[in-house]
Amino acid sequence: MSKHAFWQALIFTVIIFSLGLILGFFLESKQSDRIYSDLRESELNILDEQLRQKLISDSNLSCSISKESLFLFADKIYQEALILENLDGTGRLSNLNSIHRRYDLLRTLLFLEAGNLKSRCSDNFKIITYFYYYNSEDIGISSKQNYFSRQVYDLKIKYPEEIILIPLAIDTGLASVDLFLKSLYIESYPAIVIDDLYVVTDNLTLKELENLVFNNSSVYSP
Amino acid sequence: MINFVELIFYIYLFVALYMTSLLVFIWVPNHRKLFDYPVGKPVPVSVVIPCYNAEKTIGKAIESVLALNYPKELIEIIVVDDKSKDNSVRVIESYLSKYKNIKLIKHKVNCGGAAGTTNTGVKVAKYDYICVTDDDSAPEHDALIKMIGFLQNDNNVAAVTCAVMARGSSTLMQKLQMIEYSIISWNRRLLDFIDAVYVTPGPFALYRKSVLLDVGLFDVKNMTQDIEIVWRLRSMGYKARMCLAAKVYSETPLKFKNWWKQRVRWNIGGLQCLVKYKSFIFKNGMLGGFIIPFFSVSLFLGFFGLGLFIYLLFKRLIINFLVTKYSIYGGITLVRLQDLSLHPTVLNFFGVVMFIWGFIFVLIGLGIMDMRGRKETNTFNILSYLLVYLSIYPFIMVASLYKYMRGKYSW
Repeated sequence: MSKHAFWQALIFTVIIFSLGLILGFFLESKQSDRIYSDLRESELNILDEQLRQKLISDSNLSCSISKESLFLFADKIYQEALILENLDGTGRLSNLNSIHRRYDLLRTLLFLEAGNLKSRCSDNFKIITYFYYYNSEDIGISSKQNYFSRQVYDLKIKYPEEIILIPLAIDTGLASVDLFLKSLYIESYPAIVIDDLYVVTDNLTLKELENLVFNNSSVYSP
Repeated sequence: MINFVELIFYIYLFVALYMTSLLVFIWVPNHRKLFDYPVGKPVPVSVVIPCYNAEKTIGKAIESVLALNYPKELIEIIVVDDKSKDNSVRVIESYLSKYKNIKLIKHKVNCGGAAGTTNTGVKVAKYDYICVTDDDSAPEHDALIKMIGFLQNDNNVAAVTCAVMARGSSTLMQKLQMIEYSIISWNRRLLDFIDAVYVTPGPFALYRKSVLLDVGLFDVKNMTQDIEIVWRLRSMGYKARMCLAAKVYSETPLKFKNWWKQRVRWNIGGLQCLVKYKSFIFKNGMLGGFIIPFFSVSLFLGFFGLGLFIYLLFKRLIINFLVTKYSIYGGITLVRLQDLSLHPTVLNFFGVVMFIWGFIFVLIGLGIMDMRGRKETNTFNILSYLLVYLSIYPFIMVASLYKYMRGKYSW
């Protein structure tokens, strides 16, 4: 009889499984470290940007320099968010939620910075904020979010110099984001907000969205 | 964090790893004893061949029994025809005139399954050792003599099975079954080392007539009388053993449709056994301690896994459909490079490791069963077996449960 094989196999399985999980944690923590390192750089960037904004207002630096700097920073944050989104699908063991929250804070700051610059310089660049659920199991919402995300991405690709794109998760529990959302009076999500003036919650074609952004059609005003 | 669905997948991987590890841990210390068998001496044996519509194969089946390396005077062959509609009876009768040790019993009414037909043969058998073989099977010449020692060596052993190998490899289905049968035979022998043989398949099995009569013969209501009889024997304290050194070659379904029908029948039989012997769970040694829990867990994991798979698949399909529909309507990019995630998850790694482990497991099994290097067991067929063939089983389970619940099933 080989009945001791039952517990031998159990111990072996537990060891192999534990080793697999430890290896998984190790690999994912390396990924997280990389993201944290990028994030630290982003925090430095936004502090740098805020200092520069202060310098600009104090010393009357040109709006074009400020705008260029803002766009560079916003694009960088957006690209990092895309990487984070991809990595998020792999983060089975470690929790990337806190990193998401920090990125959302950065993007909220970015939104405020962009608004200030736009009003100070009377510039005509557009601020497109895309609000979405970070955790959504609803098929309808998931597919709509996927479409909205692709749509604003395509618009940004088409007008890289005219649009600042800021995606923001609405369900990360951040007090500042919640406050910001209350000020917009949006009734349903996902939603695309254009320049703090227009809210899009229905499926529009890219052309319709483009017209709304650049021709200031009032059809979808909140 | 790990969500519910991922947790379920981790549990599946754990169970799969545990079950294969269990077999490996049985195999390693016993690998030199796999083909061992107690040497027995020839004693009179009645060979029962239940037959139904087997005009093409019954002749070969009779001849293979006649060709056994066993004293001819010690063998009685009883062919029981279950009211065949073809020329089976004529073929059998052609042997009656040539061999005096062959008997033919004709059912006046079709009894609807192998169990009733076999029982007829067992009842009229002259000897205590009964060998049952299917009408489309052919044992190797030395199969019987290698198996008989198990009955002679231990009075508690009431049934002995052997390695059932697939005959014929003209279609891919048959090639895949060839791989499956080899692995099952090896695994069944490994289970024998922990006294957990749970079936004595119809192609060739040895029993004690006195015990069969004592336990009430084969269950005519069960779709897999060869599983049920072992569970009943075990529930009454008897043992079943496996002789890997003895082989029998059996016909396998050529096409998917027939294969599906056969497997549904087997699964219904398994369900019938589970229901009939549910009260034995965690009782009666290995029957309640391993066999019944193993069947139950397999069934549960099969159903649950299939349900989860279908849910996730449909969810993904619906989302993709809606996004594509919106994207076409909106005139935006349909596929982006970003959609192709190049960051594998830990779960992906586990899955790949498990697949490689399964592949190695199959290679070891085929090597042991002397099936490596054959064209039927090439890499493509092994991959098809692991990735496609085994994936169909949960669907068979669902179809079987549906038929079982409706109560509409027959041979």
